[in-house]
Amino acid sequence: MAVRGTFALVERAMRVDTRLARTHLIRLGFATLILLFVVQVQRDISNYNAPGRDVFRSMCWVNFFLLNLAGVSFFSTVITEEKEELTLGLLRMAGISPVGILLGKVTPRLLGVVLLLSVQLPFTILAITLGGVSIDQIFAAYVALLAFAVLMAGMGAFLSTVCARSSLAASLTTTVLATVFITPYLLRDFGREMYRDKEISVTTREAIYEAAETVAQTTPLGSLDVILTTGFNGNPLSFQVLVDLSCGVVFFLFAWLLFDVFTRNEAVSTPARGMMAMFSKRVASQSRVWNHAIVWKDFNFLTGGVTAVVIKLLAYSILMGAMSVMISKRVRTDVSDNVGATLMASMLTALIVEIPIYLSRLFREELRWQTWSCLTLLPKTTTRVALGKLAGVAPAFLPAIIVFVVGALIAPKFFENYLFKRIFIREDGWYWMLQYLLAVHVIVLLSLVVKWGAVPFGISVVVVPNVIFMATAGRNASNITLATIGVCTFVLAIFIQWLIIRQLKTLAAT
Amino acid sequence: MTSTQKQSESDKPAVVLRGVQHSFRKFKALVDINFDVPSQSLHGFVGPNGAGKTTVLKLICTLLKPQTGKVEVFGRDVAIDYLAVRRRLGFMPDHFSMYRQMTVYEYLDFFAAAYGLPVETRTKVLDDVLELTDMSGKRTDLINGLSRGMQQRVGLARVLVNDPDILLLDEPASGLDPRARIELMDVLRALRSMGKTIIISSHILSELAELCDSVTVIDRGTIRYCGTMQELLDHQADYPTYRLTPSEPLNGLREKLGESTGIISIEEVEGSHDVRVAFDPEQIDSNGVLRAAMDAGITVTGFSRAQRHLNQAFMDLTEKGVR
Repeated sequence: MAVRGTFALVERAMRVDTRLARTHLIRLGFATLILLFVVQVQRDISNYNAPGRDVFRSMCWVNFFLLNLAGVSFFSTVITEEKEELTLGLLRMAGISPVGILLGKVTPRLLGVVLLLSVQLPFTILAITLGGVSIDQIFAAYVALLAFAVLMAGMGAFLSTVCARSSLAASLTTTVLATVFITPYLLRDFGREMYRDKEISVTTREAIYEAAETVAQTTPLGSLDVILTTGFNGNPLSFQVLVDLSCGVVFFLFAWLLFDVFTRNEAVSTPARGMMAMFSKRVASQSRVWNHAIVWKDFNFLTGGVTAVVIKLLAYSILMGAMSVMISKRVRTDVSDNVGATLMASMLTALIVEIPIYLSRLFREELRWQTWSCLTLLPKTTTRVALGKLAGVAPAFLPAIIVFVVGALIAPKFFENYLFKRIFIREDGWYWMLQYLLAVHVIVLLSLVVKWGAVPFGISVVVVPNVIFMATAGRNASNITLATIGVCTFVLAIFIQWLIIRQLKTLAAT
Repeated sequence: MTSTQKQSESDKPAVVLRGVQHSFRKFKALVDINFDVPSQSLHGFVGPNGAGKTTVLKLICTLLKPQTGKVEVFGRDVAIDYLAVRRRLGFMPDHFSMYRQMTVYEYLDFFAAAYGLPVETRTKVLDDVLELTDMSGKRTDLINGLSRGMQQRVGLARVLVNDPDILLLDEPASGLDPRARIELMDVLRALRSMGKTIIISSHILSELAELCDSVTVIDRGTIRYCGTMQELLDHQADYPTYRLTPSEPLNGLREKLGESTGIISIEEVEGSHDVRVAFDPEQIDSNGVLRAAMDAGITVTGFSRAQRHLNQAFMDLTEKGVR
């Protein structure tokens, strides 16, 4: 029964996947992207020592980037989406066992990734003929990537089993991946600093370096570098492959073991009250809605209200305070400049990450809970409602902005000479700002048409063409070329804005 | 709006649809829809699933723009003057589109504020609508924790916060238990007495028959009937029909009456010993039928124009199967 149920789930998912034009378009887009790499290298073949290896290296990094996106969006929602749709109970009632459900949900997604990788095979053969890469390297690289895909699938199954919501599962996946990727660098830095301060011996430092290297080799981030070195002759079943496969299986087994515990009570799918839950009903009933009602609603229920803003401000302040102390210990000169620069850079990064995350939820939550049509029935234009919602979300960025301003006050010269001029005076600063603007628009548009993954897909849609552009023609592009592309990007963003409003009007009637 | 303006508007139809057509890609959802809804009336909107009821309601409430034809609400074109129309209209969809993470009071206060009511006015309005919908005791409860019937009341309270002149209610009684349904109908009667125009789409025909002044029957995107409820129930396919009640069950009543000239058909009424008598008005009138019954030796205790049940009218006017 379990096997039959699993096959039924896999078959259904594969059928749906095959019928969707989107699936084939993604594969086509992927093949085109690789073809572009090949054409570019072929065009400038005289500039490359090992053109085949360079093509293959680009393909591997694009694959790695997409596997990470798949881990965050594609795999981390396998079970949570059933929980959110309240269909998990129906699957259980149909007699499908926990392992049957897990296999039935994970296998089609894993197969989808394998199919995406297999699209590239003809082009990898081209890479061999271009020279600089051997069949062993290609084989080892694909094994490394497939093992990483298994890890992503296992981790996705586990996190989506224990988490109640897709958003939480995706956030945890991102945190785990970021931790694994950053840890080697932090360990190396820690060892170097401790040794410099004479706190540890050479042997301890080497042991820390060794540990950092071991952690680095657990993901393709470390192993692909080794595989793609000239003259690689290692075993395809590398340390990374074994670790990733084992971890993937262990994660899956844990998902299976804990499945009943975390899915026994099918909670009624309901929107979260968030930080508003901290208030008693009495307080809630006494506090009044602002005259700008939509701003009030989104500020309180989408961003968490004043409580969330204060908590975030405290968290950023503590984190940045700790970093400032570390920097002041390490740096002997220009301490304030270094501290200020760190605050500004960190908060700029936080803003770059926060903005798309909040904006992707701006309309998604309304559509998910079928409340959008009620908002559009208010005597306001769709644009005005959308602007009200934007204004409601804006205070969520205040903590990062406040800490950024503090950084600018600590290091005004750095802000003026480096950050301000780099962003607002130089053409490439404008170029990247416009690309970011476009990415945010694409993310909002995608959030209206896809259930999950709007952020990673939106980023990919903008980042991948830019990577190609910068790797090819963009390297020697003049300022006029950059300005022209910038203007086109701006026009495209405006067009997407129009599409968003149009789509919102359509969705209100559905 | 002044009382004079309201008075002049009450003479005109609240909603007018003329030559409305609407398609979703190749599927023709509405084909040449024409009907009026009288002002300050309770208008039933019935039809099988997929007939086009919700599409019509969405056109009236400005969620959809008519592809062909014209939809007017109090003389204003919904395609042009949609913001003004929205101010005078409250739409309760058939699904629970609510911010269920809010308390009842927060939810109503949010919509009152969104309609631009100042905070002083809001307190009074919210107290009134909570009282009308009998939800005063639940004001601090989370909507998520309320029963379906109570959520339906909150939904109704929400559409009332801006004091709309027209209420569009799409299947408001679906999924409610009998008590909640009866209570909802009482609230609707109270709203009608306040001078609101109410358009209610429902499948519970018995309650519509009792509640509504006028009715529109829609099937396969076309209007099959639009008029007063009384006319619909009185209306017979071909011949006038009367219901005859004998004093006691009689054997051979059909045969005795059937011999009279002009009698077309005699049907027994299920669950009673009454009969429905249809006749040709050119050959005999209702007095003639009564006389014929008495001549046949039947003691008649009741003789009145037969009314169809709305269920029967619905079955007569709509086609079997789905499109």
